[in-house]
Amino acid sequence: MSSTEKRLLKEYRAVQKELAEKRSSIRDTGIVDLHPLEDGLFRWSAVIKGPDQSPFENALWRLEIDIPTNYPLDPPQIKFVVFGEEKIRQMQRKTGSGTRKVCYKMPHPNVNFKTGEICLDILQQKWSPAWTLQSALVAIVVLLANPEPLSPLNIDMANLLKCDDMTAYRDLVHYYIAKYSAYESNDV
Amino acid sequence: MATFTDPLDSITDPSDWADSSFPNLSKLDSLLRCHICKDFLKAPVLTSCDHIFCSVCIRRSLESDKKCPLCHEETYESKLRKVLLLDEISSWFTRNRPELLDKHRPTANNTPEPVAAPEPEKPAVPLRYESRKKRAAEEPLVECPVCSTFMSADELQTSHIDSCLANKRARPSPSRPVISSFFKKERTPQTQPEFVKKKTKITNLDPTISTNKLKEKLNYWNLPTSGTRHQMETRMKEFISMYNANLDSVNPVDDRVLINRLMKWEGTYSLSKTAGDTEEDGAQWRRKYQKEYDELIKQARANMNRINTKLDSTD
Repeated sequence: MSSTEKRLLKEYRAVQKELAEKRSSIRDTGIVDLHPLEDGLFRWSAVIKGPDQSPFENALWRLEIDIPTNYPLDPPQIKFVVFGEEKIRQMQRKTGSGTRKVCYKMPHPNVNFKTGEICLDILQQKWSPAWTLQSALVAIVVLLANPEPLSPLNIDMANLLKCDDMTAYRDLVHYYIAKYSAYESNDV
Repeated sequence: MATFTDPLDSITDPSDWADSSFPNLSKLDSLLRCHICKDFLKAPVLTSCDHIFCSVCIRRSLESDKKCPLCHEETYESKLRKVLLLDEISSWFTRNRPELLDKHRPTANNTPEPVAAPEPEKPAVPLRYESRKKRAAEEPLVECPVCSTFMSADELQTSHIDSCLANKRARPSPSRPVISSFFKKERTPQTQPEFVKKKTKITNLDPTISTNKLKEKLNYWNLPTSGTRHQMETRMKEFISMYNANLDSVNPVDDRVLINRLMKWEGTYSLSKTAGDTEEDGAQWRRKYQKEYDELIKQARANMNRINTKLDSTD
């Protein structure tokens, strides 16, 4: 077992234990789910909840995580799972198959609207091997409540913030959550 | 996910103590862990910013980024100082952890999940024996007036005092061997074996080193010179990290053991995988952009045809 795999197993074990508890600190940070995919330890999937007192409050998003072979020296690649309009409509038609209602669009100044890529310094050059997948996800949840309009990946959302039009910003986020959420299929 | 369950049992983390009768031990458990590998500290070293990591972990990390992973302050390999006492504490804890965990296990009926109890069930007999031993240890000890040995009052009164008085001379006083055995102890704490003192750390690899010089270097350390330049470089770098980290350990191993570990590391991790990954990436890339490629090829062919027909018509 390589040191990377060993460390990932440790993280997996710690996270599973915490998620199994009904009231745990991991849930308070907004992490709803975090587990590796079937095909090994190097691809993970996560679900986060929008932070309280932000426009993203209470809605859920799914993230996919790719782990580089020399993790934790290199940061994990994390992005939001976003789909095109058509695919979301299809999923909405099959409603009731899953238990979790997830939003498949992420309107946020620091998230690429088309690809779901996230612009966050600690996921790039400021990454430290002392961080974990869990702490990286917490940073993403915090980013949702604290957008950084000066380094935007979504210029439209950033402009709303720069104009200080909080009503438009909040309503747009609510619109996307209402329109593009779907129950996810059980196989994810 | 069945593949994860087997290795998981050998994976420990501080939350193992949560259901024990002394959950506070999880604090000690987490304090003794390296922030990079999340495992117990091995050959811990202190950075110039007063943070502690496994020697090999921080050396690998500093190779890519000369910053402390905890405080982001600039840190250099040359500034790392070994902390032998902590190495001893950490290895003691690692060695005794299974037993400690076992002794602090809650009674059988409140351990519902098998995940929480990775240690195999102990048979009833040793358990009872242990509890007797424990009880004995808890009783205040008294000194035998004849031979000055400490033991439980019960033992002294029932059997020892008589036998001690009966053959006082035949029984060597246990207090003397204690002193001599103290001096004969395997090794004084917080010292490394002599052979380490003769060794010096290998300086980091100069990235502009010629391939021949690199091969010479590998040969010098009895390392294989197979593979591409990149593979040789990675091998040499990892060996330097391992070798230097070994010199920070309170229980250093022989160079041959290190080479063995290096070969294992190469097998399970980096070289084969990085080579495989690039191929896989290529295949993925091809699959991902297949449509665009097809489209481009089609366009190029159409252009060619148009030019050809144009040429034909001008002819």
